[in-house]
Amino acid sequence: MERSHLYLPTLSYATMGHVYAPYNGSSSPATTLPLSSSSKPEQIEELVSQQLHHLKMHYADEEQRYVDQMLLENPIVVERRAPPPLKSEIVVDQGSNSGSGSGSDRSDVKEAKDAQRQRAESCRKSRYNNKIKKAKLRFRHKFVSGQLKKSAVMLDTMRDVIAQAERQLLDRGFPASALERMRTTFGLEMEH
Amino acid sequence: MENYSHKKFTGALKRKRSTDGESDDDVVFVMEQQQPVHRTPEQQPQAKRRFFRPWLDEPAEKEVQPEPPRKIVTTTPPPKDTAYHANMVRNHHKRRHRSPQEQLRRDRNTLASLRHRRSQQQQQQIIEQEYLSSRIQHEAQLQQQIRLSLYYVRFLQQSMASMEPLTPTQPKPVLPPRQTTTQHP
Repeated sequence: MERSHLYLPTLSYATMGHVYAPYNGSSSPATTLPLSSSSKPEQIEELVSQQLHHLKMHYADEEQRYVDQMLLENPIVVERRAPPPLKSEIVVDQGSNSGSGSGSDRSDVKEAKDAQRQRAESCRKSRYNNKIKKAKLRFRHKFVSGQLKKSAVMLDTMRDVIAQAERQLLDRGFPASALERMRTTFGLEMEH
Repeated sequence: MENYSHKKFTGALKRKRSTDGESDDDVVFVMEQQQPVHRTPEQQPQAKRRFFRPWLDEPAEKEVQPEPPRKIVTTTPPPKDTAYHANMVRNHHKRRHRSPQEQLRRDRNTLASLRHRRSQQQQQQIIEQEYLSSRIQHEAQLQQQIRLSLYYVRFLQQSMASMEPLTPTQPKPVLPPRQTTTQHP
């Protein structure tokens, strides 16, 4: 097949080739279907939406993996002012409370202590979770910004390659109107 | 940020505080003075200025009066969890009696921390907005890439394969289909 005149730069999405071009059939002229039957706008839109969904899932997984990795590398720590309450202390408190039955004062104090301990733990947990949420948002934002830059570069490369191919077709006498028609079929904006 | 309001400084609490009376101590005096912005290290700090007050150097902070702010335009607070957790309610013992200077200091600290928290929340919201818009942009770019690759593989490649190749020396020939040409890579 004649592709030697077309310069194809090394694309960084090589590993995603099966997603971007999942066409298993050969592309030789003898075996391809007639262009009209396989390039109907509805079929193309269907294919585009399928591929887009596939890619979105892929990038969502990548994002989650990235966030988890960053959290592992940058663990969130929330300091404690006092040492954590030992389980034995809590058990002793509960035991003495049930055993003594001395009066409402002691039980009130115990309840207040328990409430205070519980409140401190809840507060600490809440602070920790909020820190994690903030960090996750930061990492997700960083990931998506990076992906946006990469895909912008990729788009420019693809447009250059396609412009080169179109120029060659036009040089060989291919009608420009046919090119425009096909671009519309595939949902692309007109060439500049 | 100057229009930020908090319930501590509005309503009944504000009225109560304003009736406590102003003191003519050095804090009020210092607040109303015109402070020089730059001082040489050799100069002694003003005798009556006991506390570190960087906001005095900033024109934006001049509106902070000794008493709690009176005219505060209410703005919509950022959305937050409004669930009531009974266990988190603290039981304050008798209201602490603070001197006016201490109360003023507490009020300033409260306001500053509230402002800081508000600005942190706004920053988080900005990051979130940027993240969402970047994601939308990225998805649009992905769609464009899919269309371009479809167009290239399904149409351009096949069209080029079905047409006669160009010779390198003739960039724009009009070759009849039956003529054979030699290729020079």
